[in-house]
Amino acid sequence: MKIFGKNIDEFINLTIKEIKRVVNGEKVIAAVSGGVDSTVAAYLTWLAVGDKMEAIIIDTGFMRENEVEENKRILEEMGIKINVIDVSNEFYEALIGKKDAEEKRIIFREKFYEILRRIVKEYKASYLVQGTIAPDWIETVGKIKTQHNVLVQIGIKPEEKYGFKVLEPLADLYKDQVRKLAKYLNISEKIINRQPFPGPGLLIRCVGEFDLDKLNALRSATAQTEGLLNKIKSSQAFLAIFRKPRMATSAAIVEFIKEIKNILKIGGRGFKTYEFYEYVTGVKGDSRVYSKMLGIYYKEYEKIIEKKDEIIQQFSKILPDYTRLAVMISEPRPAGKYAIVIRAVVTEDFMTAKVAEVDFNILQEITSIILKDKRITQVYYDITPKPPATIEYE
Amino acid sequence: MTLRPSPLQLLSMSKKVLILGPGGQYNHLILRRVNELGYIGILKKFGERIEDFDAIIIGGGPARVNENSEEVNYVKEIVKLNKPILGICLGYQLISLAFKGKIEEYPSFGPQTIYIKRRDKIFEGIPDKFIAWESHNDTITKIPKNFVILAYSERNKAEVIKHRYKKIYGVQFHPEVNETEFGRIIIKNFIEL
Repeated sequence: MKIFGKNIDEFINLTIKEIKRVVNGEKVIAAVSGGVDSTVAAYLTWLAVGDKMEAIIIDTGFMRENEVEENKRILEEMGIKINVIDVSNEFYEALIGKKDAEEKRIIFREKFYEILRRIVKEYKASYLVQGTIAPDWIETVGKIKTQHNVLVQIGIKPEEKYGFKVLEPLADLYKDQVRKLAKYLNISEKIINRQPFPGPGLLIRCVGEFDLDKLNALRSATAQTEGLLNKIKSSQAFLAIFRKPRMATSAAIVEFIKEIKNILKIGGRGFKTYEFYEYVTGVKGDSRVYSKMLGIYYKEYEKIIEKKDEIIQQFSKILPDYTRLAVMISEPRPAGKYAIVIRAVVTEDFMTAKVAEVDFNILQEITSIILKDKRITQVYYDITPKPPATIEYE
Repeated sequence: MTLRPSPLQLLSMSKKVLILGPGGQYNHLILRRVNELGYIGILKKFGERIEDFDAIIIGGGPARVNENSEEVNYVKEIVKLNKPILGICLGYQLISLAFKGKIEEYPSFGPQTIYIKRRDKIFEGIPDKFIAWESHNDTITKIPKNFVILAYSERNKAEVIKHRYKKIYGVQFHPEVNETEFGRIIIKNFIEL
């Protein structure tokens, strides 16, 4: 089996040797999340330095229900001892009321490393190993979005700023390559096949202004629909929460709806359009955009989803100020505080992504479960590929 | 710790492909594809020192350019090296401008159906119609002199162009992204020209 033009075992041997050489007998902290990247990075380091490595899970308060306990259990089954450090209140205090996507990500990163600095000092370690992979730093350097684990590549010197050196054994690999590596290393299938979950977790899926009510609504909706979300054939399927959008129209929106009717070969009325209050991240022609999201209601939403590719082409042309298009699955109701958007994509390397082909019965089922929470009154399915959207919203 | 091509790889007989990336993230994917195909890819920014190589791919980037952009002058110099060149997205636009074509605002993102109009070595093993992914704000509206159109889409008459006498190609879509059908074959066909 080959990886990056090399045999996998050659890659592993070289990496282990390099870690040993770099660390040179000093102590290493591995911050693991339970995702495949940080687990493989920690495991390779553990193979290289053994007891000189301490593994920790930082409970940021933005993980999914029961996730911390389950991650600890799986990693300990692999033989790695884990300490869980709960710092959720510190994160909440720093982030409540913050609105801007990049500001949230940067505060998260700063807090994350401030805490790590404390931990590394407590443990008297010199190195931090983390599971940074290629798209993380490519997108941060390309200013698409700030990944919480990218420092060196953007000129932050962690040794000066945080008091430790960073070890990134997977920095040149893509997700599919890391998965191959994990399989070869016999890492639990549960970790390999787990849906990618961003470092800042549910924080960046509470789109726009962050507060605890939103977080709780999202966490419980996610827990209740996880089984169904996993049934969608996708690389990643998740929920994001928004303030319930307002009805909106404009000459350009009217023209766009006309185009949709042409594509669907239907006449008549029945379309409603909504503008989300929050801005969302996208990537157009290699640049980051932070712009508007449009929701459409049409009773036979299945027809829109079936023709999504053609519709998105028209959407980009007619409404250049918007980068996301979501189709309402629920009925439009005036009450309630929040809307939830279902996002499901298929991708190999996370640099580009298709919208998943979804079974409408599953969408309907997810929607009715979500609507049991009276705070949420609208549910959408996002039909925008990457580009022009990104996979996450912030 | 980064993995560069090993000395063994560098000594092998593989073709060396220079990837000139004006800042775009997909240039890393071009590098990945070139390496996966068994060639040696070398990714450089515009203006960085370059060494010997067999073919050049000019990749994408966030810039919006016009005929006076300094990137266009740089590409004019690259053309003088007389090596096979494949321009992708912005790279394609720069080649067109270097040969006095015209570009205008014309956004397209995500999947697009491409139709082959004229058979060429670069399309060997590829059907007449395939799906390619795009991400651009501008595109070519006037083909430069001495270039011919090889493929088009419903919204863009010049998705792929080729110089009549030189091994210079331009593609508006992204053959390096995973979702583009036969993208790897296009890259391979180009390097094997």
